[in-house]
Amino acid sequence: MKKIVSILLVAPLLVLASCNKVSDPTISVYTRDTTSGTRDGFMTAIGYSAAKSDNSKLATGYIQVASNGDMISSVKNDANGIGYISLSTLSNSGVTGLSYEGVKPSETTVLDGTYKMTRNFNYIVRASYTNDKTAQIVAAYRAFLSTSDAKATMKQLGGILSIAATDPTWASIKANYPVTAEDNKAITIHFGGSTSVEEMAKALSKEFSPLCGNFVAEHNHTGSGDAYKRTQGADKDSANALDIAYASREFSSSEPAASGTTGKMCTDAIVAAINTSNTKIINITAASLKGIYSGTITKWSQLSK
Amino acid sequence: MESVKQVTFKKGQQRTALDKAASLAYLSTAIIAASSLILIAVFLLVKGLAPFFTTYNENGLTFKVNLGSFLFGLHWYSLPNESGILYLTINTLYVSLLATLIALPLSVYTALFISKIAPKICGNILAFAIELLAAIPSVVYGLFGREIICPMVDFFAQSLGLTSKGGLSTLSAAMVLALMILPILTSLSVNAMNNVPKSYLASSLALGASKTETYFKVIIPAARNGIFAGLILGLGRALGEATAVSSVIGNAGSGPTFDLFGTSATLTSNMLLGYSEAVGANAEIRFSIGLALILLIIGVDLLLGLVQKKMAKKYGQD
Repeated sequence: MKKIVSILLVAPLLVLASCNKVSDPTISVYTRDTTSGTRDGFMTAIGYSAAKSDNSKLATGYIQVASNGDMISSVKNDANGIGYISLSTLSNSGVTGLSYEGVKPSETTVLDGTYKMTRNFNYIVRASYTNDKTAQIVAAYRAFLSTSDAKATMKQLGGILSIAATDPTWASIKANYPVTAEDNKAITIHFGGSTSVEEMAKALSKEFSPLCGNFVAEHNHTGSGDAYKRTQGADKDSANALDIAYASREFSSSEPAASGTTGKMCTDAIVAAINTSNTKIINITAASLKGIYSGTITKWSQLSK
Repeated sequence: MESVKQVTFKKGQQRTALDKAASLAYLSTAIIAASSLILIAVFLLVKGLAPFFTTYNENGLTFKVNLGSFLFGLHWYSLPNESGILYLTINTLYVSLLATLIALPLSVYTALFISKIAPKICGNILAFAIELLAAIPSVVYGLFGREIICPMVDFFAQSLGLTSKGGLSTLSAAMVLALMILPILTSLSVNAMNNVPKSYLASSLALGASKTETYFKVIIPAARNGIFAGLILGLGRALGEATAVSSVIGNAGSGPTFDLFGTSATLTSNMLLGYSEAVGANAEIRFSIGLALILLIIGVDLLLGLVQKKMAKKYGQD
């Protein structure tokens, strides 16, 4: 027994001693796990779709983080870390957001189309409804999403979109949706899908319910993967079925939504982020990011400022 | 004299009927408790084995998960057959073992202090404080590990001339786990030491042994069984802990990792990672990991039980 204990005690020390000293630090590559919509958007944007849901395509020694907040605190603690986060969380994050292809990430550059690392927040509705009134409320909600009222709410919660002067106000179009004038207290509308869109979705429901006869909005957000599944896919008639669902990515080829059942809400930008103590680079290209995430670039010295 | 209270008993038949009803009630609660174990076992078995028999149709791929590559794989890359748990299992054992190795001396010396050395009040306060440690939820340990222990480990690595990924490492995970098993190991050790007969201490001192000699050669050996029981419970907790571990371990995609400052991943941290967004095979395979984890814990418990028996044989029961 004593022998075993002493071997166990010494083994880690030997491993420790065998580590090499590092003078030119290696880039620590941080990634979200394969289920993340942000990862999907990031890998697609840098032209490395192969790594969207396959970790074997990533550089050796990569670190997986569980959420956007986890990514921020990880990169904040690692002087050699690089990761990617949502633009809406950059300003108070304490990490440095890199310019992408020479363009600084900001709402303006996303809207004018010069900042290219973006993804859309989309929604999907059911192809058919058993309750006619539910169908009418959903139709009214979709119309509401294109009004200046809804757009202001989305913008306030970090969504990037432009509110044009030609966008209608809800007051001007509500007459087209007579169901909104009725009392809908008995109707429950089930919302769900992406967790990235959750906060925005709840704010929109809270705003729209009083405008539409006080229907009950029930939110159950479980991830973009469930958006299609629970409205038109395998679970559309299950207890988890949804009326309106959100996705923080585009619907894939394995999610064949019926035509006219999906729409775009707003845009979110993804920003490559590094530690604030790292002043070696301020800009990065898609090719460099692909190099870093595929493992062909491992040192900061291989990048140009 | 106070008046004697009149006590009336119910008639004989009524009493037996009541007893019968009560014992039926006890029986039904016992059945509920026992059947929940069976339910969980069946649920895990069915859900855990399903991915190896179900045909999935995802992203244009039709596949079944291969049991062999699942059990013996050294990376967790992508389904169907590039996701293995062997490295996760080795990491889980390694991290848990490290944690118990850190916690064991701390706990035993603390217990010795509380039980034998400290003044009564001081010992009680200390014991209470340590028991409070057990009441802290694991997510708080995770946050503490992330904000305090990880930077410490990172600093430690740098002062050795090494680099770490912001402290996300095997060592941080082992330290957080050590903190979490400290209370259970300490309480059981204190109990065991309190139960060592006073005469042992007195005899040892009377024979001319110093206090330190007595503590190490008499008290600790006599409390051996209790300490070992704490070790088993602590190791079980370490093997199964998910939330705290996954906040500090770095979730490496391949391994095994033996480097103290290297990122790692355990069975539990891998189950938790991305669970809220996972769908299809990626979600269901997590039950298989859960099944593997339960089997691992049962295996380790049985093994430790055997070791305990061997020890009892060698040193005699107390």
